[in-house]
Amino acid sequence: MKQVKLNEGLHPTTAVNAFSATTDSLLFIRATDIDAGLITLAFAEPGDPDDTRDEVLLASEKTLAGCKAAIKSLCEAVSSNRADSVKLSGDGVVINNVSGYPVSAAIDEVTTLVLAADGNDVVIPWATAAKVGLRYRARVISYTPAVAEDAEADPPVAAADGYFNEDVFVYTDGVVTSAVNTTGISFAANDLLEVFAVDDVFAVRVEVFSSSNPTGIVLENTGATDEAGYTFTAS
Amino acid sequence: MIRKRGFGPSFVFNYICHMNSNNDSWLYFNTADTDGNTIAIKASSLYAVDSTSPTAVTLRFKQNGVTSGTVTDFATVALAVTSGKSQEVIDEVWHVATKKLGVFQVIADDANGDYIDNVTACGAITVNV
Repeated sequence: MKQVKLNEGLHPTTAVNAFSATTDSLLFIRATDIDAGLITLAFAEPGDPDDTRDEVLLASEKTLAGCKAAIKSLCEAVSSNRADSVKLSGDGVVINNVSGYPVSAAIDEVTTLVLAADGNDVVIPWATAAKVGLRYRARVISYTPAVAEDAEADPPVAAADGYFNEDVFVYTDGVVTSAVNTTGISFAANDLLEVFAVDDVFAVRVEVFSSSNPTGIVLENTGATDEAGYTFTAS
Repeated sequence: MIRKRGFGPSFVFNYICHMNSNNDSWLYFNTADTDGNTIAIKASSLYAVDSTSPTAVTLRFKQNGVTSGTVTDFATVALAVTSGKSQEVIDEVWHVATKKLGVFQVIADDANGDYIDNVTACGAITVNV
């Protein structure tokens, strides 16, 4: 018997979502959504033999073969003799065929990103109350200026897709505290842009990921609506 | 009498037993490319293997530590077997589950056509929790 540890691997300013149990209480590991690559680890629920405490991790490959490979890797990690405890997700944890907590799947329901005008925060709204409590890390990874002549004297060169890919934006960590749209992921104006004023920007890409899911998911716009807001979808 | 210091046979035996006791095996089943039908269950939770017909065997799993009262299965897995080979399959399942042949043991995998001897298909996988 050993201790099994799971942690989302983020660094939120509030409580950390972490869980640990003994290997004895881990009943089974099952692919509960093959297309989404969701692998459920079912632990015995303390005091309730008819229920389980389920923790869901993400398979690296969202296929039946990928799910099988992830299950096998988790079984081998749990049953390893090398230590008194085993950590299945979190900072620095590498389990073959497993990508950690399914943050990218959790934000598939994000449908819009609003780029506010005149220095207000950029907000990624969260679609459902079910996302309350979810930890995330996000950053803006590229943008395009609306008016080229507004750029500074030595402006960055746009990539072939028209976006400027500047690694100048800080990460933001946090926790979804409400299903209300205006309390989603937000970026302060000063964090968003170093070169351009916020109201000069008409397109932004935002990457949301967990540290154990480094590929993340990219949100980008599907068309400007008006000065106050632009519609973004998960890509 | 002078006793030599070192690792004697009994120490090695006990050490190996201790290592193995910490090494759970997992039994893998797959019956269809649909959600919930791909699962690995800890071998130590297997408590009964039941021949339900000449061509069918059911594996029953319970939570560890349940030693009295009504035993509630948290999972059952049905296997289709070669007619008349139920006993052989039961013996093989217990052999695989208890002999710690490896951490990850495929019992029945329809997707890859991989089975222990005399198993022809994986049937229903039922999780009751």
